[in-house]
Amino acid sequence: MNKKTITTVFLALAATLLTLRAAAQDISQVKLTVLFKHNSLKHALRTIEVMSPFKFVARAEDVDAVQDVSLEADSQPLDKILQQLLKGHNIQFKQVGKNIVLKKVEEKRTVSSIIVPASYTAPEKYTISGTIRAQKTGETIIGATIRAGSTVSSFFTATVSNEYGFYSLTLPRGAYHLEISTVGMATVAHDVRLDSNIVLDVPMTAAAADLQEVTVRATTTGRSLKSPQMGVERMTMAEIKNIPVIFGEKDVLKTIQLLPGIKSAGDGNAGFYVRGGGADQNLILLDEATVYNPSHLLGFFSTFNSDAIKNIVVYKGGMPAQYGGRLSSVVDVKMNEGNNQDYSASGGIGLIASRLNVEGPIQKDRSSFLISGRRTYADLFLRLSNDTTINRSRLYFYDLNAKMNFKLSGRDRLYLSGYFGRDVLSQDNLAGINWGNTTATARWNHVFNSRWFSNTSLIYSNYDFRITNKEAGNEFNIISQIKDWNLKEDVQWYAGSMHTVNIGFNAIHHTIRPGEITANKDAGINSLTFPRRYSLESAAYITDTWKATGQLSFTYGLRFSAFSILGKGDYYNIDPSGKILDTMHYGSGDVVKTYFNLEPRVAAAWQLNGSTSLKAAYVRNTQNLHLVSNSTTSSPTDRWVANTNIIRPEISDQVSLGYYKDLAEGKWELTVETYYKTMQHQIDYKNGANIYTNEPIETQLLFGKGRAYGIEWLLKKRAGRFTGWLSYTLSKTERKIDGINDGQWYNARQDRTHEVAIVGTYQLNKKWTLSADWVFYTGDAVTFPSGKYIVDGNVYFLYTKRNAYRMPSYHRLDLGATLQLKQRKKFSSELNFSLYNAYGRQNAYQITFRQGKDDPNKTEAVRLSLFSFIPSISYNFKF
Amino acid sequence: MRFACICFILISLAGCQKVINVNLNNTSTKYVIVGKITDQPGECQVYITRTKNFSEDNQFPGVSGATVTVENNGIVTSLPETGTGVYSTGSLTGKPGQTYALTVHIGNETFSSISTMPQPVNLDSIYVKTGALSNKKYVTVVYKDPPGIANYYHFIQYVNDHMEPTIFVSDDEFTDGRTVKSELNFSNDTNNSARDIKSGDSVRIEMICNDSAVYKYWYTLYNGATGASQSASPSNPVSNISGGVMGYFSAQTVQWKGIRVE
Repeated sequence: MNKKTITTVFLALAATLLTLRAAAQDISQVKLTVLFKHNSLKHALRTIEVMSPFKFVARAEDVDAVQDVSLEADSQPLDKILQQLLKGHNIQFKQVGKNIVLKKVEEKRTVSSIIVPASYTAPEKYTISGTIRAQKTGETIIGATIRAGSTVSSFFTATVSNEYGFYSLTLPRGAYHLEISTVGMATVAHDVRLDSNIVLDVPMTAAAADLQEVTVRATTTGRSLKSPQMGVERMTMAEIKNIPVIFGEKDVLKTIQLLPGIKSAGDGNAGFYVRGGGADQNLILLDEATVYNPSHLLGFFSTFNSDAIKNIVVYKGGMPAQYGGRLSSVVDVKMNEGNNQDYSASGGIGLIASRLNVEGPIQKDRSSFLISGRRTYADLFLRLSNDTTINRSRLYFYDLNAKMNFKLSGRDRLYLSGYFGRDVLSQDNLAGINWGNTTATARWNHVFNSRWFSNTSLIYSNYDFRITNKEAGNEFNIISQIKDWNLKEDVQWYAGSMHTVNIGFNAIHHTIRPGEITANKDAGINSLTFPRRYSLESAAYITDTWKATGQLSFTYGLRFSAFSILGKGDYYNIDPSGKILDTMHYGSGDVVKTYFNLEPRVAAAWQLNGSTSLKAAYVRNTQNLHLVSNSTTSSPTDRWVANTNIIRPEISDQVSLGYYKDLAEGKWELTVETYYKTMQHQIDYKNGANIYTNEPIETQLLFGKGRAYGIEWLLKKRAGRFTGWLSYTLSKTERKIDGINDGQWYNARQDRTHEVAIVGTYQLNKKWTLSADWVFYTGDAVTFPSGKYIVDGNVYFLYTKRNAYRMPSYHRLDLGATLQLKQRKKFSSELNFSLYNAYGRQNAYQITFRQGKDDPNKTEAVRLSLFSFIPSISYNFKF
Repeated sequence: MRFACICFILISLAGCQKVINVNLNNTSTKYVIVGKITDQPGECQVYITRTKNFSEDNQFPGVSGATVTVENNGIVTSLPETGTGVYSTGSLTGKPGQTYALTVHIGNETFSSISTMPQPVNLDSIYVKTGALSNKKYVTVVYKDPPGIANYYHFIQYVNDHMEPTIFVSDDEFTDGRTVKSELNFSNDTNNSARDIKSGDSVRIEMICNDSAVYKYWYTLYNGATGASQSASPSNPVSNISGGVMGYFSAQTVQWKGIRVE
């Protein structure tokens, strides 16, 4: 499939869909014939729901309070019907998309009196700003939509709250109707008269799940059609809660792999590939701190404990200018802040791990804390084994997340957060390895005024592994580490109703200790320190989002990055065969070399109508730290290597084009994105490279380039009892490296032509939620032998081309069910059942070749598969 | 690698192995030259075979009619064909420190290589004990690595005169000057229990010292071409013979030690 064909397919699709009618119906346009005689209001609303495309959102007590309504209407508009039905009950209604929101009005307030003619002669502008929070917990809400509509004209505008829940809207003087909406929360409406700058903090309450059977899920915040941001996927923990996963451990990193363009690295591997990039080309952030190894237990789990996580945003393309440092993607994970209203605890007991999360106010409304822990007990099962090799093994991991936040003043807020996780793998206390990440973040939000928001962060991040060997007479330890100190400043300037500007800088100091061996006197190994590497990675950026017209908006920005290699240390000149020509010594404080890069980021969105938009983006990314791995699986001992005088920054350029359409009044969303990406200075190992050598790493490496292109389709159902999505990716990714495959283009290992995921969740009734997902993808491109030969009596294999063969196709079905147990006022709990690989597909984890087991005169291929049918059960509680 | 070993145990716990059919392409054949000259009398031999397609049987007949010579200090010794594809001479005994050049003519193709025999390092002792990571018995070899110079080792294990197919090689990058105790552990995933060491077995270890190019050959063969490696990019070993053949040429020292397992 070449690029041209993909483009043609895309255009054909776009043409078909553009002709579909998609206007959302207005309640004044829908005519109904109804007859109610002394019915309850609930009955009347249900009847209308059945007859019309609309759903009602309301509080149960408001609706239940009205037990006697009568009305006869013959082909009347729905708005008229509702007016009559609700007359005298002090209930207002408002259409929001396909929802009709009912709201009890306080006796004293009458909204109509607020209407004041806006003055068009004096174009003074004022700003309304504030913070959006969940009322129950005090958690700030990221990405809530704030829509302001003039009460006298058709003018309206909208913005979204930033990652600290802050928003700012600058509007001409006048009267406005504000609607604040987000997933899982009831839409809040406010009427404001804007004749001075206003601070409006908005508390939100959980969506009314009140009209029981006709549960309405908030439909208002899908992806934004207007925003130029593309290639982005957002998920909250509520959305991933019911999707089945292995061993029943909810896992954000596993769930995002069900989205188009994000490919799993395979069974037992937490790594993932985004749009043809490598697993190390994803920037994974936890509260802004880089997580260098996001996997636990050899990749079966990710380091993100779902209890502590608030939301996750993945950028596959068009990254905003404040992010940089990796080629393929940004995965921005934010931790919960902790409930500042009330103490609460939640947790779970699963087959292989248990979790506990405690949070509460330190000082109500002003400060809060959160502590969340998780530990696995897989090693308990190992002890059941008869094999002493296995039952003497230890194998577990744990995670600890902690966070505190303080409201210092009305304008200042301080957040402290930390993560500590560790894996331990050891054998009979003789030999072992443990590894893990530590991160700490201190952030200070400051609101200068209603238009200027600033965040300053000081971030520490660390990854290390330690190998110990305690065998008598041969005792030694190996330590390897990568450690960062990072200072970040980001200023958001809401420069008017048309412009939002982000300006900022950051500077990271990296220390890499590739390996330090400490051996005792009699050990068969020498104490040795691989030279430490120091570097300073800094960047400054500016970006503006410009709403040029109601239909057209742009984001354009520039990121300027610099990477300085710092002494002390030795650097080398090396000839193509890997021979060291000369060695350059640098002292402490010397700058070995600085690489500068300009990274333009441009995006545009064109909203064709209320339900359709087109977007395009170009982004350049650079990467200065590289993970060199030559293994089919991720290993805790894979090495991070910084740029040197020989290893240059990796650079990628990506253009993407997207088509977005809301279907069936916003119940369904269709997203189609295509991309073409080139990658420079890609790194691979030489054939037969030695990874564990004290020689300069450059002697083992080869350099080349890459390209990737594809088309991604996502059809998502956001509302109703049944929700879920269908995703399909058609793509190609290749590498061209001098010294591999005679310098010809070849498939990258992660090149998978087709990739399909189907995910569905069905709310059967109040108690049961069922879910399923099915994935299919083309097998990885791999290197298999094409022949064999004999050396000293043993058969070895002859290889011809790199990655010229394919693993068998991968497919798998997972099933899940959640049973909501009896809810009491303060306590709720649920049982979660899951069945991983429900039809027991033997997917190939690895294919190896050997002399025949039964007939040594033959050679044979052996498939190793990891999992078939993994049932699991877990119990989760909250009080 | 200990770590790799534990991972392997984990994976095999959960995993399931099955012999499958994989459709592999055929490829043009190449010559395979394996040449050795040792410090033992009468051990200068060159074997020439060809590669085969994966689906063919494991019989590798020798290639006749080649001209094989070994040169040292200007003296060229010809190796006559003493069996099908076997070229050897009893008149050439290698000396440590000397460099040997192999030249092979087959038809109108010429292949050549040079190798320098290192000074021998003494194999001090061997013993058998139960492995730290397993309940199987393994041999531990003990030797004192000479400090200050690069050394390369290759061990071949025979149990009741059956050669163990696992490649045991090491260098002294991290062990220079140390008394090294190295356990020759391997995983036997075949049905052939004769490979496992049991009480009463007679075990013999052959210790070979070779030069860096030959070590590189064995190291890359082990990592890339045994068909079983975890490498994301299996590849042919780095040969020290020029001209586009598989195989190696080594001038090496050899010594043996035997033991009966209690």
